[in-house]
Amino acid sequence: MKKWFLNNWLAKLMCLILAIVVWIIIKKFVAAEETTPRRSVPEQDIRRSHP
Amino acid sequence: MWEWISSNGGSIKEFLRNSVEIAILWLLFYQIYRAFHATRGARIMVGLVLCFMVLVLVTYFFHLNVIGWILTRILAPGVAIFLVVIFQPELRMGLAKLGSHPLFSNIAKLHRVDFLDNFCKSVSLLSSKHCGALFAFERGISLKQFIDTGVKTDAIFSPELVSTIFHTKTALHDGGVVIGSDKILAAACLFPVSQKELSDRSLGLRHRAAVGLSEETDAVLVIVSEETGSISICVGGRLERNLDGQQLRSRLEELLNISSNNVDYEKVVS
Repeated sequence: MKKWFLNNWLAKLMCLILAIVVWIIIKKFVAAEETTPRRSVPEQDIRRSHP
Repeated sequence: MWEWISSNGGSIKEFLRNSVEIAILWLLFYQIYRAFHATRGARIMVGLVLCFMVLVLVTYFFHLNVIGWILTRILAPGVAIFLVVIFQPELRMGLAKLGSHPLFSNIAKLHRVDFLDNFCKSVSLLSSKHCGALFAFERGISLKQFIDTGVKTDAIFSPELVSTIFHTKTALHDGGVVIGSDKILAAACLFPVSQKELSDRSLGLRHRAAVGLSEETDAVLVIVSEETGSISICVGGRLERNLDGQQLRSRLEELLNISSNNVDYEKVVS
């Protein structure tokens, strides 16, 4: 196991960093899309404020 | 970064889920790197990925919504198609490798039958030329310690290569050849010589080395005598001598678990 980790360690490390960066970016994108208000929400707000 | 990863989830379950996601991505990227790092398209891929990453980062930090929309909806699928076109030869090779995996046993068996045909042809050729040869087939027990004594080749098996290795005027003809996964792993390897009394005193050092290795490991050894050109097999310290091509083939099929009868050629080819 130790040998496997030490073998070509630089490439493995770079791939790990890339994986973390990609994961963070995608997670943020997904989070941003999920929190974007839908069209119905402002419509409901308007209806509530102008009964 | 780890804090962000763990705090983003909130719970241990979420943290574990994130870790698994990252691990899968890591494995995926590393396998892609391993598959493509020495190919012609590798630099193109690095360039493309860098451009894409820079664009994504710029879009994210400066909130460029239109560019972001174009990136995610048009460019990302475009880049995927572009990569498939660029790496078409590598993808074909990778899929062919996947197809020859032991899981897909019929195709793998067909390849092994091909290998056995080639091997028996090579041995018959060496025998007819009275060219001495010693082959060791690796099975369950690793032959690494013996491979290290020779010259590592990791070459695809071919009758021409074997004839060249065992030609008396080449540097690799002394010693044995180790075959594993139907490849020539190493040549000119030194095998331990058996100390036991052999019934026939005319047997030379090559036969003694074959007996010695088969006593220590579960390897199957094939010997071609330089003096008589006879073909022998040695397993578990026992020599089976004076085999003809057909006998050699059937014994190897049995010992190496290669069954040509089980392969439906027409089905596999079609």
